[in-house]
Amino acid sequence: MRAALPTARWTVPILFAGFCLSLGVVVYLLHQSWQYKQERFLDQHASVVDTAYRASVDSYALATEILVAESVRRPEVIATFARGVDGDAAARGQLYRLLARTYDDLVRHGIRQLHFHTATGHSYLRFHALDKFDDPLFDVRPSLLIANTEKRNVFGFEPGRIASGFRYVFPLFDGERHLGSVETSVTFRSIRETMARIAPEREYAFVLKRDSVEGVVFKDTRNLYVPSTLNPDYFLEDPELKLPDSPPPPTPVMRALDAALATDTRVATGMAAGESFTLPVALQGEYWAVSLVSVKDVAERRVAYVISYMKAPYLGDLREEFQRSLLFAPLVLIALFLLGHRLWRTQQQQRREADRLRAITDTIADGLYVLDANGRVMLVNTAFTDILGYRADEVIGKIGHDFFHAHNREGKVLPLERCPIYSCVRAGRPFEGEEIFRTLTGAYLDVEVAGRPILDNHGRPTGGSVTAFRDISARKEAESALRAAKEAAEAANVAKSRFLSMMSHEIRTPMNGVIGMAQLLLMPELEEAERLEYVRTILNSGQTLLTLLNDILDLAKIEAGRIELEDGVVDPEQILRETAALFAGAATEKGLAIVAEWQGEPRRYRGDAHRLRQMLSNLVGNAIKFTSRGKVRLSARETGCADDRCTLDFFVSDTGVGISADKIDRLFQPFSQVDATTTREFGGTGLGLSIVRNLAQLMGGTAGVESVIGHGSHFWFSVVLTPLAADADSRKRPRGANSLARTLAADALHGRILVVEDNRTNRLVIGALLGKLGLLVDIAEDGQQGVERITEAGERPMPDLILMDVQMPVLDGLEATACIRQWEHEHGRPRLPIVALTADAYAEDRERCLAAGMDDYLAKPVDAGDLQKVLAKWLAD
Amino acid sequence: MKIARLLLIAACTLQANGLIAEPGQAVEPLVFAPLPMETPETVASQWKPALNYLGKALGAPLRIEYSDSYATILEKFKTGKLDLAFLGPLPYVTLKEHFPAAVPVVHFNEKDGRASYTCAIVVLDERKLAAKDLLGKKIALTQPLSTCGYLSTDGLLRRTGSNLEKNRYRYLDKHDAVALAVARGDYDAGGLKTAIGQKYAHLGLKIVAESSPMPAFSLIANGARLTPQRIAAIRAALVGADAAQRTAWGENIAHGAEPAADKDYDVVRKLRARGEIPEKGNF
Repeated sequence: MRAALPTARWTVPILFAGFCLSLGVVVYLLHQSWQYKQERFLDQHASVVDTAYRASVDSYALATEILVAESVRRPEVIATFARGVDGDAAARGQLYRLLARTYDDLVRHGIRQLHFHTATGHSYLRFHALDKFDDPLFDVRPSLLIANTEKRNVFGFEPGRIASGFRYVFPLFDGERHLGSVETSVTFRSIRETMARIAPEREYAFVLKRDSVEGVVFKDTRNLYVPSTLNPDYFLEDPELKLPDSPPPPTPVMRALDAALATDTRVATGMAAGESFTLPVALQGEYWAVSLVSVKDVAERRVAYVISYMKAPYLGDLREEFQRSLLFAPLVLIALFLLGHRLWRTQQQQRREADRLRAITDTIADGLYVLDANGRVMLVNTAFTDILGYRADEVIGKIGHDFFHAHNREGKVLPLERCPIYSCVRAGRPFEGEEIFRTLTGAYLDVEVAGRPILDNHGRPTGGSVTAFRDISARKEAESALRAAKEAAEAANVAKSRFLSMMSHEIRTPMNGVIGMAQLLLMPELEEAERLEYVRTILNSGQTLLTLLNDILDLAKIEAGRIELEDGVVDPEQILRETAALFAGAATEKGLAIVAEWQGEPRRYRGDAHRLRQMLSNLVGNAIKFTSRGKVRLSARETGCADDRCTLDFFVSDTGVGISADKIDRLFQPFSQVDATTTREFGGTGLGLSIVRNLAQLMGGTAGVESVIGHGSHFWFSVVLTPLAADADSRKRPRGANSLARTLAADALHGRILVVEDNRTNRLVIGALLGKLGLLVDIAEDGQQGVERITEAGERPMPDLILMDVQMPVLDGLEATACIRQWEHEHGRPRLPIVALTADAYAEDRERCLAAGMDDYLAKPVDAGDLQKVLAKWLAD
Repeated sequence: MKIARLLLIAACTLQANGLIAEPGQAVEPLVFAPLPMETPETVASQWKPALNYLGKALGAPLRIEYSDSYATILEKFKTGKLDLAFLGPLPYVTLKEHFPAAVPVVHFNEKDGRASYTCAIVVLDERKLAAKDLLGKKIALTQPLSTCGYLSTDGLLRRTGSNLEKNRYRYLDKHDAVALAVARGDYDAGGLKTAIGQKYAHLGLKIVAESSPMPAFSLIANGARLTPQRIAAIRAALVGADAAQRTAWGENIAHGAEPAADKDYDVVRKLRARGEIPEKGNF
C-alpha cells in the first residue's frame, strides 16, 4: 500500500488535467465541426443563390437573343432604323410602330426596356421612355461603348440613366454597315421573379454600390435610390415602388435582418472586397441564411449585390446540436475516461499478468516457445535463449522450425509440413518425445520436447502451440557413460575372471613346484644333488610367486597414483648389460641369442634405475617367452635434451611370432594378453606391458610396439631423465643377482632377537634365517606376548632387537610397539630397536610403522640380504 | 421682456397656423395625390424634390398617394383621405361641385411661363388627316374628368362640324397613353394636353386642333383638413420658390407657380355646361 500511494496521489491530478485538456480539445473540435457544417451549409446556400441568379440572367439572355433575331433583325426594322440614322425624322415613329407590340410582349415577359442607340452612342428610341432621346450614353453606359466599338454582343448588369438593369446589347448592321445597337434590359424584379421560380423558398433584394449610382442616373431619378440598411455604401433601388417594374420593397423581416447584419463587420469587409458570402442570422428565435452574391457589371466591376434571405432552421439545429454536444461532451469524456482508466487498469493487470507469466516462464529451466498457426515464433522464454543461444528478437516472427528444429544430426532439412512437432500440435494433438534441436552455433542438442496445441474458447485447435523442451544432453551423456561404464564393468569382470583364472594358474604353477618339491624333500634317502635341485626349484617357484605379487602391487600402485620413483643414479648402459645378463640363462635355454647395446657415449642420469630395470625385464621376459628362435636385442639411446631434461628411448626387439595389428591396441591394457590362448601357451599375468607403459608415462614418456606377424616385434619405451655430471657418484648400488648367497656368506652377527609373529611358518623361517646369521631368537606369538616379554622379562635377558609383525591377534604390532615405547618411557629404559617385518608392503604401511614407534621396516617375504643389512645396522648401534 | 413677449406671440401665431406641432404631438405627413394621367416614375421624378421642399417649408413630410383615376382622387378628397392634389381644371370643377371645401392653392406655370395650358387633337402625321376629316374615326381620350379629354376634344370637333359622337372614342386615361396610342397607329386621333402631344412629336404626332387657354394644372387643398393658414403657407412656399430651388422639380411644375382662385375656372364651367360627359367610350 505504501508503494501505491504516490501513484494514486498523482493519478487524480494527471487524469483531471488530461480531462480538462481533452475537454478543451473536444469543445474546440465540436466548435470547429459546427462551424464547418454551418459553412458548408452556407456555402451550399450561396451556391444555390448564385446558380439561380446566373440561370435567371442567362434565361433572359437567351430570350433576348431570340427576340433580336426574330423581331429586330427583320429587314423592314433594319431599313427603318437605317433611315432614322440617316436623318429621316419620320423613321423614329415608324420604328416605334414596327416594334410597339413586340415591346408589349417583352414587358409582359418581364423585359423592361427596348432601346435603340446610334453608332455614336446616342439614344435613338427608348420604348420605356419614349420622350427621352438623343442623349449621349457612352460615358455612362460601357456596355454600349463596347457593343458599338467592338461590335459584339454585351450581356451584363449595368446601372442606367433611369434605373439599373441587366443589359443585353446587340450591335445592329444593315449589311456591312454598322447602324448602332439595340438593347433590352430587365430589372432586378424580373431577375428576382425568375430566381424565385428556381429557388422559391427565398426572399431577394438588390443593392447597388453608391458610386455606380451617383453621376449615372438622370437627375430626376436620383431620388429613387436610398441607402441600404445593410450597408450604407449600397443603395436600394426604388424601395417605395415609384417605378412600375421595381421589385417589391424589403419586407419587415428583411429589413430587420439587414439591421441585424449591419453591425457585422464581415458584411462591410466582404462587400468592400466584392466577395460573395453567406452569413447566419438569428432573429426572434428563428435562424436565417443571408447570402450576398456579388454582381459584376459589363466592365467586370463589382457594382451590386443580389441578397437572398432564407429561413434556415438547419442552422438552429446545428447550434442546438453543438449545444447538446457541449452538454454531453463532458459526460461522454467522463465515461471515456472511466472506460479508458478501466482499460488502462485492465491493460496494467494484463501487463502484470504477462510480466508474471514472463517471470514464470523465465524461471522455468526448460526452454519454452509459442508458435502461431503458421509456425511463426511469438514468444520465447529466457531458458530458450540460454539453451539455444538465439536472442528473442532473432526468432520472434520467424518460422521456428527453420531455426532450431534439426530432427537429425546429419543436416538433412525437413520441410515444415513434415516436422513431427509442428504437424502434431497443429492438428490439435499433444506432442511428447525426444528431438534434436540446433543451437545458434550450429551444434546439435538432444532435447526432450512437450508440445501442446492452443485451443480457442470452444476447445478447437487454433493452429498455434506452446512447446517446452529440456536439454537432455547431460542425461544422454550420462546414459552413454553409464552404458560405457557398464560395458567396461562387464569387461572388467571378464578380465577379472580371466585374471583370477590366470592368477590361479600362475600361483598354482609355482605352488605346485613348491609343494611338489617339498614333498620330495620329505622323502627319505635323498641324494645331495636331488635335494639341492628340489630346494632350488622351491626357491625359483617362490621367487616367481613374489614377482607375480610385485607386478600386481606395482600395477595397483600405478593406477592408484601412489607409486614413488626413486631418485638415484641411472646408468643405462649398465642396466642394459645387467638385464641381458639376468636373462642370458633363460635365453640360452631356448637357444636364443641376447644382446645389449647403448647407442652413445657412456652417460649417467638421475632417475629410478630399479624401475627401468623392471621395465626392461618385462619386455625382455616377454621377448624370450614369445621367441622360439633367433635373438633378442636390447638397446637404448638418448634422443634429445632440452632444459636439462633428456629423453631416452629403450628398445627390445625379437624375432618371435609377432602380433597382428588388430590386437596391438589391447596389448598395453592390463590383464589382457593378446588372447587367452597366449596365456595358456606362454603364461604370464598380462600385466607387464601395462606396467611398462604406466611407468614410462610416470617418467615423462610412453611405450609402444611395432610388429609383423611371423617376423617378430619391436617394443620400445621412452623416459625423460636428468643427466648427471660425469664425476657424480652413485649413492645406491644396484643389487646383484646373487645377493642371498653373498648375504649368507657374510660375517655372522651377535645378539638376541625377539620375533613377534603369529604365523608359525613365518616364525620357523625367520627363526632359521636368524639362526643362520648367528643370532639368538626369542619367540612371541602375538603382540601381547611380545609386550609382556619385554615388560615382564624378569630374570630373562632383554632382547637386543625386536622383529615385529603388524597384523596379529590379541594385540597388533603397532599397539604392541606403542605399549613398549610407553613402558620404556615410564621406566626410563633405553630405546629398544623395533623393526617391522610385515606383509603390509606399501609405503604408507612403512610410514604407519615408523609413526607407531618402530625404527625400521622390512617387507615379507623377507630377503635374507636385506634382513642381514638391517640387523647389522641396528645391532651395531 | 419685450423680446420674450414677441417670441411668445410668434409661437402662438405659428401654432395657430398649424406650422408648428405642439410638444409631444406626432407630426402626421400631408397626403398628396399627383395626376393619375402620367406614369408613376414620371410622377415620382417630378414631384419628389418639390414635395421635399414643401415638407421642409411646412415642417411636415408629404406622402404621395397614387390613384388610378380622377374619380378615385375626387372620392379620396371627399372622404378626407387627401390633403393636397394636383388636378387639372375639369377635375377641380367637378370636385368643387361635390366638395366645396376644395380650395385652389396655386397654378403651376406651363413651360412657356404662363399659368394656363391648352388641349389639342393629335393625329399621326403620316396619315395626312385634318380635324375636319375626323368623322367615323377612332379617337383616344384621356379620362372622362380630364379637361383635355372628352370635354375639350368634343368642343374642338364641334368647331369643324363634327363631334365625338360621330366618331368612335375610348378613354385611355393617361395623356401619355393617348399620345402613344396615336403614335402606334392604334387610333386615328387623340385628345390630350397640347404639351403632351408635343412631347411625342418625334414619333410622328401632329396637332390638328388646339383649344383656348385653360387654367393651368393646380394644387388643390382640402379645406376640411387644412386650415386656411396652412393653405396660405403652402401657397406662399410654392409661389416663393425661386428657380434654383425648382431646379430638380418635374417638368410640369418647374416653371413657377401663381396663386389660384376658384373664379379662374369659370371658363371650364362654361364649356362643361354643354352637356354631360359620358363615363364610357362608345366602342
